[in-house]
Amino acid sequence: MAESWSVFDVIGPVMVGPSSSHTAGAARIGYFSRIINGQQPVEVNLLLHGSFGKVYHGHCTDKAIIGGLLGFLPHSEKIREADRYAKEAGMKVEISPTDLGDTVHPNSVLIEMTNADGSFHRIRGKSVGGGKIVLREIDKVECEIDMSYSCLLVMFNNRTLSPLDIVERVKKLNANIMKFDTGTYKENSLLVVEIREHFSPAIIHELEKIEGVEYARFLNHISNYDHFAS
Amino acid sequence: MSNTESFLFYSAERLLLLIERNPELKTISDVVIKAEHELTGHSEEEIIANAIDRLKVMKKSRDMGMTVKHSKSGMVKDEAKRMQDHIDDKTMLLSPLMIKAASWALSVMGCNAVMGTIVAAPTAGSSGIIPGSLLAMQEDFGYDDEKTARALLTSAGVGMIIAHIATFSAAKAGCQAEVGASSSMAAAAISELRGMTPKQCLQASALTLKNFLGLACDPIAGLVEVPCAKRNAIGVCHAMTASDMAFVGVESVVPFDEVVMAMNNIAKNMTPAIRETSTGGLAISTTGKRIAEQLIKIGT
Repeated sequence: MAESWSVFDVIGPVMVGPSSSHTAGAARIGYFSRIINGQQPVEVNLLLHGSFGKVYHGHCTDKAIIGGLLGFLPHSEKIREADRYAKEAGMKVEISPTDLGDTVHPNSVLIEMTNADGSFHRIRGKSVGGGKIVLREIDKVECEIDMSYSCLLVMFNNRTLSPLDIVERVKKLNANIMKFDTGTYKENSLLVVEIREHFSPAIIHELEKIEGVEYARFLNHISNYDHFAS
Repeated sequence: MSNTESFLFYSAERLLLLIERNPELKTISDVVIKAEHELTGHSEEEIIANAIDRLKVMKKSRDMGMTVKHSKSGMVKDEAKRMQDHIDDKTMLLSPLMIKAASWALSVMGCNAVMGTIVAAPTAGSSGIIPGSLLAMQEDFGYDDEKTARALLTSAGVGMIIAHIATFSAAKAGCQAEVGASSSMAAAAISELRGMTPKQCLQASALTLKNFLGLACDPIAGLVEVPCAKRNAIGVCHAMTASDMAFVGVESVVPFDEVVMAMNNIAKNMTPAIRETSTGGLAISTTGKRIAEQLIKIGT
């Protein structure tokens, strides 16, 4: 069940301290970036912009993003030792405070990820308060993904495919489509479909077989009704 | 589309009207549960179970914070333990309940400062007030988890009104929107626990929030430590004082919704220096600047 707004947004999120914007939001950006990257990266460059670049150390923004990239959820106390876990996992991390320009939200990070198979992804996200985030750029394609619903991402070559071709395929899977959106950078387009269902890895794999699809990913919304106390 | 009554409320006025119109709704938490069901489709049982889950996390944060010796910066120390050791000390001015609640608020903030798991309520910088006051009341009066969870939902209901009319962002409105908001949410929750009417609960919220209007967000070195942690402890005491005042029939001349609007109005007049930029107030006091410089030197 997805919820757009809930009283548990007020009494929540459940998170490791010390800051909902600089720690919990940062962890979420890292967590979803890992899923979009498709695997645990071996080399990571964190370009921290604005306030993220200035006060990241005191708020452990870097550890939070690294923890997310290792697959830890924002409430996982493993985030406290994320740098150690990264070292153990053989993940090389560079941290560089940077200026991404005046139009970029002050709590933003650009994450560059290189994988063992040589593939590369870059994702920019902003933390907008209370642990809420928006992904603004995926592999140079601009987007606006706030993760209030689960969503399906399909990166495709726009010379081979149109977004409607993919939407048709998704519809055939009986998915309850809430909203969809596309963005484009050169020959690459990104289709973002907000849905209520969970997509199995098998379906993602099916979508990736379509000619012209670069990659497909499923991002599962972190629900306010997950159990955190155990 | 069906034309059934909506239980969503974005003002205290609407909340009280819903209670007046629907005799089966007796408390603020009754309306919050209806509204949450409408928003998310979850059942009453699921909503209460989720609130109980949040309380469990809060208890763990309180226990963890009690063991904190000092944060990385050294600004948050063992304040929680110090207060807890004096709960039954007859020379203290506050009641044992208030000392316990203040101690536990400090404890949750200590947990937050050392990257422990907390429930933002409504923010991380104000995460001590609601657990401090609710858990202390639960222990001293023996309320069961469901009753305490309902009170937590009441606090969320008051928070929904603040989120709708104003904000919880200190970057936009200063600490009045964090510790102020949280304390006024706690005031309604503890008032509901002791059986006060919804109207009295919101009176307690109004009385509390009025006392925080204009509060600056001026943290030393930008950390969620000074003055945040100790403000949480004192916020608990404001909420309890206001609840007692409403209990004996003291009323806020200005109703809650208007107090929240006043908070918004004041926010517009606040300079950015006191809105979470650490360029004003305590952050640029002689001591604040000295600590910030030291922390830069040691790379914290």
